[in-house]
Amino acid sequence: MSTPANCPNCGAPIRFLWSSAVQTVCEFCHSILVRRDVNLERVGKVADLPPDSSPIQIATEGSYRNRAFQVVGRILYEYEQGGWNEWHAIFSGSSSGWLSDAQALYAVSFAAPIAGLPPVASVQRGQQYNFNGVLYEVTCLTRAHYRGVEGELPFEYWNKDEVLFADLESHDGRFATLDYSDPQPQLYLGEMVEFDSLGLKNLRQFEGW
Amino acid sequence: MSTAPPPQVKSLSCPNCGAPVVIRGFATTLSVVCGNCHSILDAKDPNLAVLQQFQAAERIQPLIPLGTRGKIRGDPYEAIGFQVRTITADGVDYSWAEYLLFNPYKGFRYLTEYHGHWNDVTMLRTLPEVGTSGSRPVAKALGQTYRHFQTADARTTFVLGEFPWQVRVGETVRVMDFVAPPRMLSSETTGSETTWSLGEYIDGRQVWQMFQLPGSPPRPVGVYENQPSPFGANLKEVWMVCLFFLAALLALLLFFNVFASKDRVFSGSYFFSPRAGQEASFVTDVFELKGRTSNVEFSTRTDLNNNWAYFNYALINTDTNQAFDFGREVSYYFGSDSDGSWTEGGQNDTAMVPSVPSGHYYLRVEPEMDANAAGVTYSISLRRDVPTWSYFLIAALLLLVPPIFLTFRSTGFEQARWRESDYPPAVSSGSSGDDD
Amino acid sequence: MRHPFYLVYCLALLGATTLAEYRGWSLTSVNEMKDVPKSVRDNPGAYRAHYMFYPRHIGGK
Repeated sequence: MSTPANCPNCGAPIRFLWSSAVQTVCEFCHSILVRRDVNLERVGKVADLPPDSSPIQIATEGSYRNRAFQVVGRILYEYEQGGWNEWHAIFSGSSSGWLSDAQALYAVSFAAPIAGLPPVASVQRGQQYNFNGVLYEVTCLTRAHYRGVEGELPFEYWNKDEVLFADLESHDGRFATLDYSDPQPQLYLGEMVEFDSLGLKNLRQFEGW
Repeated sequence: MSTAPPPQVKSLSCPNCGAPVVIRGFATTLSVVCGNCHSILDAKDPNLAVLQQFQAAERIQPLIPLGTRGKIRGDPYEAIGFQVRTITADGVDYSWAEYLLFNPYKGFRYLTEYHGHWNDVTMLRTLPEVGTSGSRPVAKALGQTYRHFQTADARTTFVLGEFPWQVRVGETVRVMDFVAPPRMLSSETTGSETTWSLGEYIDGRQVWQMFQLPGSPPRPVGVYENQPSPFGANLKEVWMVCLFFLAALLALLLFFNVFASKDRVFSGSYFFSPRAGQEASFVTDVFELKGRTSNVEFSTRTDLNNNWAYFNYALINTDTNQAFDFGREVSYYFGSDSDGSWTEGGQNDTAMVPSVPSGHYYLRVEPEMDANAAGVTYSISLRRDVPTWSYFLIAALLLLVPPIFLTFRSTGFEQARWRESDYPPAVSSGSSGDDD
Repeated sequence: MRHPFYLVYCLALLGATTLAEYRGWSLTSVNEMKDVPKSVRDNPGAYRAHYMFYPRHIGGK
């Protein structure tokens, strides 16, 4: 499962938790490394991550709807009213999922390969869309900017300037996100989850808790 | 694998007045208030830049001191923020308190308090459907329908502690409350987004127990929007029992009616005329009353016209020397005046003698009339074991008293609830006045 | 059932009504006399009812 390799910048050993990782960050020199065939190419550096209070960390394990997962990476976003984390989780069978943590409100979602997504200019709050037969309503538009990455990701992602996210909710507890980081919009479908339902282990410690 | 040390509680000094400022919410706290000089500080700034300083008419002390931990549904939460929000309706200010509770794993929840009424509030994870029912808005979520109670603009008037957003005194949001007691859905709308929360009414004593607070909670005043009715389910049950027993009474009435023997045991016709010196009383032949101890119906039929007669009766048992003694007045008058013809009284009378044991009886009869009366022809008829309905009626009425009383109380409670809403009930004659 | 009191109350009413009906109780009051002599049959005029409530009628309206 873990393929040994070395950081092209500082030579430190890089161990991958996930064999299909496309991008990772060297723990020691914080270089962003992208996998190109057999080699690792350094494409940039991550600035120091801001202090944050997510109880989840790399190597946190849990289960969602009876499917076990392990957290292998994350993307940090910041916006006008704070920040949030998108934790990259690998499920058994090597598939990618996302566990988002925004002020301890958690959601699990997966990339949905749906065509015909609305262009960024047309998305507005209150707008309703039908994805996979379920009606979703846009509840929140967030203009965020990328603040940092950590660990392994399924795609290349760094130095994004302003990105637009549209949060959508259905009337039966489902949750969706339209990600406009790239020219091609990406849809993630999932649901809001209670912390207890994830059975998380190997969490971060907090002083006094 | 994160190399950062565990997040710690930070103790800092207010840049404005030097008073100690504590940050318990780790990196989630965006703004923190200096309780001493009421400066709102930027928690993300290492220098704690002052974002706003507000004037407080009075120093409000939170009932749950900041930093106190309590257990809610088995999880520990710490009270880290406190705000007072105010709405103005018909020129009157109504303020309530909100306590921000924090757990680094489970996140945030709120306790709101208004006049002794507490609510346990969490963010709703699903989007409610807003529609109308009749003429009023409703919101549906999690399989329940909530009725619109109130829409108001709420402004923050006092803050203490920390918040995971940029708090400002004076910031206003539009709040809409929908109730389904004991729960409530609230939406808060600022310019850019609407968030929904779910509140559940809890007793102040529970809050005191959760946080192990000294003393006792403030006594609740009035009825709160999502306060559960103490009558509610009880009322339905009571009415079901009432209806069941009313049906049972009816069945019993029919049963007795069918099975009563209504035996005519005696009848006789007589004539009486008052004569000075003449003995008015007489006795009848002996007759038999059969069956169990039950009643005897006495019917007296007369031909009185604009006159009265009084009949002294005694039902005497030949075997036991026991007698049932009573008198019946019969009077009948008629005439006509400017309004038409009228009558008063009746020519006939019926009386019931209760619980007469079976046996052999005779009657002693002694009529009386006005000395100048001409006389009266009358007949006496006795029936044994006659069904009555008066007891059934009394029982039915008594049966209805508790459910009707409870319904009044319940209606009064609901009226008190809705009096505070955007839909106050129509003012009836005089206000109820009891604010309990 | 949260308020068994009402159920007991209803049962009591039903029971009382059944008893009243069965035993032929009445709402009108009647005096009971204990020792009426046999001589009343021969001389009804001698019997003087000890009415508690003997509304002596003055007559008319």
